[in-house]
Amino acid sequence: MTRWSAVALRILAPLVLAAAPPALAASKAPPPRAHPDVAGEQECATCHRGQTPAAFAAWEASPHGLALVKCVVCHGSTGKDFRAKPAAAPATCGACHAAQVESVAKRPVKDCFACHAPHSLSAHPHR
Amino acid sequence: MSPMNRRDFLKASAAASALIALGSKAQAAPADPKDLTWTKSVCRYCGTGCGLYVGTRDGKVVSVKGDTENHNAGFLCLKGFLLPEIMSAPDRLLHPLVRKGDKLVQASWEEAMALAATRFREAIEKHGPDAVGFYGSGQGLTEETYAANKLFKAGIRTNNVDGNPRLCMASAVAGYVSTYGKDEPMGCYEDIDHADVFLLVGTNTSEAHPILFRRIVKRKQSGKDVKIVVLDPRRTATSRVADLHLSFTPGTDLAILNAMASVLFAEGLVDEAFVARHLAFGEGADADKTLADYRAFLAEYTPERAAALSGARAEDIVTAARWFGAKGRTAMSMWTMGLNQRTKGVWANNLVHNLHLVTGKIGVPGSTPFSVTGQPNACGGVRDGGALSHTLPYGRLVANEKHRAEMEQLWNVPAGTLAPKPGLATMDMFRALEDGKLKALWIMCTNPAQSLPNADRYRKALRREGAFVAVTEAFHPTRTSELADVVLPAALWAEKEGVYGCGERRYQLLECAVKPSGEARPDLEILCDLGRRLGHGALLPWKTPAEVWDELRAVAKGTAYDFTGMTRERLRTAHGLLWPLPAEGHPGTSRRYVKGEDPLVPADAPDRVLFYGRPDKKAVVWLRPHKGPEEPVDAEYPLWLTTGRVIEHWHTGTMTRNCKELRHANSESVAELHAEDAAAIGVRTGDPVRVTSRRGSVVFKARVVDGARKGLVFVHMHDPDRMCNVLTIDAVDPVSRQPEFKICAVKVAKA
Repeated sequence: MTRWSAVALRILAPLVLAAAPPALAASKAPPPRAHPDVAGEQECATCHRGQTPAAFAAWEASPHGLALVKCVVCHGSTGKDFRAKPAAAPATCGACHAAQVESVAKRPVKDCFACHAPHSLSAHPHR
Repeated sequence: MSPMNRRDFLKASAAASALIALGSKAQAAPADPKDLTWTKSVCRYCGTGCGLYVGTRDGKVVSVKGDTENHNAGFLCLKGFLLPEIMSAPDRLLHPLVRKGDKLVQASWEEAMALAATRFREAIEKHGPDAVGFYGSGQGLTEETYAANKLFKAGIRTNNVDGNPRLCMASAVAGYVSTYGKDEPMGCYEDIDHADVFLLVGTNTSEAHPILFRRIVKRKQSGKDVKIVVLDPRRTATSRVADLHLSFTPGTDLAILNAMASVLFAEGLVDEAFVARHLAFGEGADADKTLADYRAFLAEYTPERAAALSGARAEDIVTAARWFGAKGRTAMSMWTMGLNQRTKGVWANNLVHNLHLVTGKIGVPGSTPFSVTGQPNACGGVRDGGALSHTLPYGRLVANEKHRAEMEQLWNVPAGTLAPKPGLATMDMFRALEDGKLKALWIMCTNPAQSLPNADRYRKALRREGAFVAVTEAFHPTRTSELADVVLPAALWAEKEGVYGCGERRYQLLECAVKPSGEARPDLEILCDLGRRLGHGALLPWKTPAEVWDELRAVAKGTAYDFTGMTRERLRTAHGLLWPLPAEGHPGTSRRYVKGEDPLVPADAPDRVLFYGRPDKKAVVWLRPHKGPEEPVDAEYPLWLTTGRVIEHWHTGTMTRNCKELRHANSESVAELHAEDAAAIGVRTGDPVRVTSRRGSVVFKARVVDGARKGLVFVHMHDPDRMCNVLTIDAVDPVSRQPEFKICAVKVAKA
């Protein structure tokens, strides 16, 4: 995490948490560093609808949920590159939102998640 | 109200609102990271044809980003987003292989090509040109497919040239040709932005064409009272935004579509002036019926009778027809394999066109019948390029003497070179391989040993003693390359240059971004090599794909496809161009047959549209009766099987299963069951079940899903280890020769 995004997160954390679903906001347990093995017939929803219901529900009702931009885009695979707390970087958000990522890069806030609550990723206009 | 409950609906609406907000793209062009080189290209996957940029560093593809200036407005689905991973996959084939006994062993290009050429030459000399064939792909580049078509039809002199578009869109082709006289959709993606009603038939757009689905959702949110009707036996992710989902017994949608037409007449929703000016009526193969005949034909398709036949509700059929036909509102239909992969696929296509024609909802922004395509270059390369067994480039037909003469002149070959009899369509081609009539087959950029219906039968044919099979592939092993006698490493996607033509007549240039991996070569280079070795080098003289393109522009000139104005240079700078585009200054054509848009419609044409594809300048409303599938369920095989896609994977999985993020996401085919069907055999999600058809048997894990239809089993088609096509039926539509992948009868038991 960059220094600026760490600062931004500290400033914005109360707002982000307030906007997040209650179960997610209340969760104190740190996310696991590695993802357990999964079988090929499973999709993220198989477990996460029950395991992380608030996060799943926030995503499912979001624009990314409707467009089926699934968990792997931010969280990576369930292997070594699994990212429990993904950074919103040009390599991920930028594939579809290059202009927005670029506009953020010019500001002190460098992480998309500072404004776009994780999972719901509610939209804001970039000016 | 659809089966979607109120909570789901509100959730989906909220999501849709947010999606639109998200879609408000910033105006500024993205500034590129300084350490990457960005090359303009097109997504390798489905027929949507999303524009993107390939990001490279040190000669490797490391990133992609959507092209904001293309029709996809910068958006990509998760498969497109993960494209860089396919380039350096562990199973990339890096050198030629030849079969030695039971094994494929590494060989030099010289050894492999010499062997392939020798076996083809021997087969031709001993048994004649029709003893060999070419099986191509809607994923090959236009220049590659054209080279193969020219080599086989004009060089070797066989029309045994076909390709996997026969499996996915042949019925759409025959539907357009029989109704309008010309192939390909007349509308464009931008019609989505103007449609008031969407009729989505036999398409899970959300998963199969996510970027088009996003555009539909955007329209639903921004338009006034936009309605979405989904006709699909399954309640898929697409139905999240549906206002009405009609579920029905597989194979009964012809009755529903006729009943909708019946309602249009009964409720005065027909555009009588349009009907009188622009339509002919026909039955069988002849357009010799009248409006009165059609009305009499429709009389037996009451909503009630259609409901009884289909299991849908009569009031839903009426609602769908009322929404579609509402005066003053536009209507767009979109369909994919649910309609095409049927023994009556052409008829089903005709019936969708009928709805547009009798209401006059065609040729205005937002009103168009749109067949959505599954592969990135099925339209541009195989359909338009005429690389099917009965076609010649750009609308010409093998069986038409004048067309053959035109092509002989354009190809500078003696009169009489082109054989007048159509060659073998896909299923016939593999049956000829099975019975020994076809001795040698060249397979390019596709995986038929997994994707053909009744796959085990044709897997045996590919290994028949005496048959010779050459495969060019970027990956090995695939379920086809493992059966081949020679496997040649093909350059993949960003490793070569060429044109893709997507579902809306949009031609786009994929520029070369990196060198081919290992010893891989572009298919164009491989085909030119083969041509030289077979003594036809003069027919394939090109040094670059751009030279092929110039020849293609000349071949298309003066046809309904005319893209003379699409110079290579213009394609390099443009973000896709839609044909017809007959001159360099021409902007391209969003809507065909429309005065003021289509350059083939005279400026002084009397009406807003001119269906110039047929001699009488009319489109045909066809009287197509309801007919069920080839293999209905019975006491022994009591459940329907249907197959399809999931968003994470594509086709036979050779690419998407190389993405680590997707390898563990929905990669294993499961048997999706209705809860009552699962309970009847005592299985729960995760339990193994054996699904058996008259052709084969496969064990899948069961998954009990909410959207399943009772009596219907769904299996996705992407898993090479659990191949749904061992089960599917190889019966074909008699006109399009497209197999009925979508419907057969099975039994399911606890394994």
